[in-house]
Amino acid sequence: MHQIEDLIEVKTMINGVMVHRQVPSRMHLGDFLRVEMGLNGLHLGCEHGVCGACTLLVDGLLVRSCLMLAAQIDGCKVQTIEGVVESGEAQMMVSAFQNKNAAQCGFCSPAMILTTLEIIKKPHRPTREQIREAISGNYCRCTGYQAIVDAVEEVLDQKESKL
Amino acid sequence: MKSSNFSYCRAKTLSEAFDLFDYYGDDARILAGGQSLMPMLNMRLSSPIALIDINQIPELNNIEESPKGLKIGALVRHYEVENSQLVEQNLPLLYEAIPHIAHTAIRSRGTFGGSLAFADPAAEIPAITLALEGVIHVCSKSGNREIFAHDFFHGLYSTELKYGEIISSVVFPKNTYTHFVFKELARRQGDYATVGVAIAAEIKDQKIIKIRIVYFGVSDRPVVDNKLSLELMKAQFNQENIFKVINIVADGIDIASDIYHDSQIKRHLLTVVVKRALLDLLGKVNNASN
Amino acid sequence: MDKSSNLSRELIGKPVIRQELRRLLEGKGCYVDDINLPRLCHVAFVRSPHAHAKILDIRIDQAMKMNGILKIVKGEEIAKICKPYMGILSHLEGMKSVPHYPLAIERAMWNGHPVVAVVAESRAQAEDAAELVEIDWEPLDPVVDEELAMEADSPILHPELQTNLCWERKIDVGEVDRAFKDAAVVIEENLRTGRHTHVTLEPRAILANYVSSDKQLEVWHSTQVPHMMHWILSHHFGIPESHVRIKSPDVGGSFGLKIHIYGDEMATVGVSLLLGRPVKYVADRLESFLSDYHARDHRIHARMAVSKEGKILAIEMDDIQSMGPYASYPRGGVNEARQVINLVGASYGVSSYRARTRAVFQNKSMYGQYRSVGRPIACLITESLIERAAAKLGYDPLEFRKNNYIPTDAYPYKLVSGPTIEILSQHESVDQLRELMNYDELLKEKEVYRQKGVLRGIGFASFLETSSPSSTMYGKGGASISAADTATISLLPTGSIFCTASINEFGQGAQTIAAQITASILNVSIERVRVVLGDTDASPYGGGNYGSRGTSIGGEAILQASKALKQNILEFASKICAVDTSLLSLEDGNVVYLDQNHILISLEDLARQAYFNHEKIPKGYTPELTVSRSYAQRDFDGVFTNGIQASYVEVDPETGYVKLLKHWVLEDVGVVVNPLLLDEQIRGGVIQGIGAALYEQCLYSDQGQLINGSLVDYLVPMACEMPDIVVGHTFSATKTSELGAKGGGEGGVAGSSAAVFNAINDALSPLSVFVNELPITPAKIIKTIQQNSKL
Repeated sequence: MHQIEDLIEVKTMINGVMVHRQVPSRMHLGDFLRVEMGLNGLHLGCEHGVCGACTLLVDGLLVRSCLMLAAQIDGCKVQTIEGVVESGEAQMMVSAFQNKNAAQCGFCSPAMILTTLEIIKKPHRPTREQIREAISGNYCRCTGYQAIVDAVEEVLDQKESKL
Repeated sequence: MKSSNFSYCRAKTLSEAFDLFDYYGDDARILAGGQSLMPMLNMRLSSPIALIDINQIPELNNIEESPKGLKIGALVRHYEVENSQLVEQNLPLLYEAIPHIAHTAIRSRGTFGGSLAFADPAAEIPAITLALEGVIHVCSKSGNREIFAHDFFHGLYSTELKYGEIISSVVFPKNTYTHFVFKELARRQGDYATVGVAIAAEIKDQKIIKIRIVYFGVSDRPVVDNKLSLELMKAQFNQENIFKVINIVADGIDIASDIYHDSQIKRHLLTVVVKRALLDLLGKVNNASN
Repeated sequence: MDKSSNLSRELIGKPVIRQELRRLLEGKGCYVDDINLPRLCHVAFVRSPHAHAKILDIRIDQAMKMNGILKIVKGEEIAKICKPYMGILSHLEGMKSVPHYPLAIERAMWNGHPVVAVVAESRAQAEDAAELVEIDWEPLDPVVDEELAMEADSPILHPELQTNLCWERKIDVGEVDRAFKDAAVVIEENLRTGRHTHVTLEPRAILANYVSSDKQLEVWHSTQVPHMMHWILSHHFGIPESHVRIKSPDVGGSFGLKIHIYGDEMATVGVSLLLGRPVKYVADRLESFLSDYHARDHRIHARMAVSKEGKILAIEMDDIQSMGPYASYPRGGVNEARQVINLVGASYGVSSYRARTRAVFQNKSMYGQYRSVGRPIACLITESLIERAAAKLGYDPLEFRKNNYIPTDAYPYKLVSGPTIEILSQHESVDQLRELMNYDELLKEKEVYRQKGVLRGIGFASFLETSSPSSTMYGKGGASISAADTATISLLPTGSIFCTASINEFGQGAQTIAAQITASILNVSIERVRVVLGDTDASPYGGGNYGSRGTSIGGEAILQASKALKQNILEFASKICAVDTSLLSLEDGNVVYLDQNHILISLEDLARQAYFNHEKIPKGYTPELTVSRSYAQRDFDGVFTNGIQASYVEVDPETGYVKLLKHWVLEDVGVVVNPLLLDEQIRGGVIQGIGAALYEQCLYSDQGQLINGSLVDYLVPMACEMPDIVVGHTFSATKTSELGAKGGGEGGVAGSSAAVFNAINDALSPLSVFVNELPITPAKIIKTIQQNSKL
């Protein structure tokens, strides 16, 4: 068995901060961010890309961090829940989730927040069915998903009333 | 579920990739989108000695028109196909199928070439490529070659690709198809298809001049139903005749079972889906003529 | 009226937003896997690939050579430091099992049974070495069918028991045979419910740190029951209770999963004891499917006799529950069987009842409690019979139920199966549901679609839930599981309130409920209340969360402690201000004169005098600004709640696909402390029941191998396929506590599978087809239709 762990150099921007590290070749991005960078907001629920709890943004796109190697983020921009909270971007959605009680144990929530933030960026207001479709890759065992859809609608209403 | 150890290297060019293949013998794997490979690594279903990351090879990620047809680079991501006007205009069947692939986060990374090389029998892209007779361009140290879709899929996760070969692009030849239908059954949005059908047809004056019908999710690879095609071309394309030919759907094709559906149920579901697809096709033809 | 004892309930019943939710939403949750300690090491397990096999030899020399390996531990080594456990409850007559240890010794009993613990600097390294552990196996015949397991020629899992039967109970009361003879209609059914599992998003996780210098064990555990774990670890590892601390940090979902004892978790604690280092174990998703407890695996034959006036005359029922290889510790693992036999027909007070339940050992994963233990199955059996009886006799399904419910003046009502029901609101629930879903219009709509050949169906399920369990559930049988809870509440120097209680938080909002009750009684803003739960170093001893008791039992302890603290505060104020207590009350963080609404003294000033400056305190008097109160529900075995659910579906008979159009729940949980928290919990429960109805099943090969143990193959409900769920409430008071809350955490699950099941069968009724097995997959619908058309 191959015991040697290569170390791969990566230069990446994580939540707006330049990071220059050596990462073990086999370490996936989720583990790297949690273990090496203390970004515990992303959670590991399955490590085979199905549950969605590890979802974050790489170069502006939603991505499963368990399905990328840490070595692959060289030259990329990574944004986690910590980043969108610190920038204030998540503020309205977080409040809406609280108001509608759209989370219970919270394990799916950071990924759910990131996913729903992308939904509200679309040019046309999604229907409830389209909101459900957009979160169809995020497993939640606690809620009925309904409160999450309600929270997204609350944010969409707020954005519309601002126009 | 942590993967076993492997060396990791980034190939900046195709030639670098070929050299790396040589160096590692036959135990290196290509890392492109990683959406199929990474779960296998994490579950230790695959333990390669090295991963060759080809994501930075420049000439593989374009969608462009070429003299022979629309060319999709192997590293084109699913979301890029989803947002491509060129695909929408030239390959409406593909355009219709893409949103069925998994979920947004998977489509951000998954690649066209990767989906073909992995050859999951329930996947959409292999089926569409077979339906539209895409030509798979492959390169290696010893040169380039072109593989027709109907020669490409050998069996479960098995293709014509030899070790050391990399898909560079797929060219979809210009065609005379006028109508397309894509239909799949899946228990939940984004799941692999239980059964699916992709149809490309050239229809004029209620007559099918040419029709290509491909099934996926029912066998160890996507499968063309020539028998049904021939039968449909014999008579007028109308509801009565659709119902007449339904009983020969997948006739002579072995249908595999899965953990939730035995082959009899699969065949039944496929028949239903094909019937509905043909009725949709008829609907499109009738709407167009109204 | 004594105004000083006037209960202020300002926040009770209000939809108060969960304060602690923001932290979780913003990614600042702290779950076990987020915790790291210096010199932390990690465990991976080698598990049995066989359902049943002898372990002939284990060789670890190749594995020990791998990078980062600290220790590899076999079953015998853990057995030396851990007392074996056996999940028998002595008050369940005839219950049998055998002792077992954390890791398999001599024999592996299920596919997934942990055999060897590999400890390394990292999880990845532990897995590398685990691959090189060599085990010689002698496969044995597995027992994988609960009916065959009871036959004379079946292999016996535990030869010393001479049977695969863990527990059996029979009931035979009333005039069952006569009832069936006289019946106008007899409905008969054979049902099967699919074995499934909790699939919490956060897998099981534990971090054990044994510091040998002072022989202290500190454990972070994703658990519902830190105090139970406290007793368990202390007792089984022989460490004095005073040297053990269990802390439950944020828990990513549980639903009953994390109240059981797991061999891999116990082994992890054992490893820490052996190494004297912190050791972490987090189950990965594949391991979770193989080793998490399973539930809901039943085969039932049932009959109901009904008169032509639509009265239920009798029920006969035979149930087999398929378990794992051992009675689960410490709760037995036969609670489902107990609840099924107790509660079939219970809503209707059926007094002619012949029933048998048997819980049978299997070479499959361990088996135990999953949210709404046994109730969904009792509900399915009963409500399926009810719905078909009503249809056969041509009665409105809701009126049929009303005509048979326990009469409203018959409470408290003792069931023939044993438990007593304090009070329910079944009739009101039906009336409200009818209105909430506009049933008459919906029925017309269904017919319109049927005329067009579209198969739509409406199904109902009336359900009972049991909550606030007394010690008759576990403690009576010798299990060290607390049925009592305690809350300790203090007034702090700046006038803030500190509340700690023995219930636990795993997302249901226990902290907010505790704060709401405390803030209400002490009349302070909720921001002034700090709640600490889930730490055996801080919280008083108690039961944690199980059986829907957090609000009803924990909440009552908190209420009483708050009241007592209020009394002490007023008394202290009266002593130092020389005003009679009867003239005083609390308002907005101050002690006030009741009549004039005048502030006498602020809580802060009062507290400062209790702690810092004693000049004004009269001799012989000591202010007590920290108060503890305990509460246990001892009036009944459990406090029953009731409700009714409805499902509206469309079935595609060609594909067997079911579209869930809408769902309704009416539930009575007594006093509702926080409707915002309750309602989405109910919805979450409904979704779990839908999972059971349509998607979820642990599939085993005939060799006892779990064949769908990943999230690709095991289907959990996702957002796109789920309906909107309308929730309403009725109310019936419980006198078992002053708070008056009944448990509400499980009702959503109790009735949803049956409602969907009935709706699907209603949709299929024009085809004269009945699907009798959960999960109702497309394949089952198609096959049933095909079989029927051959007749």
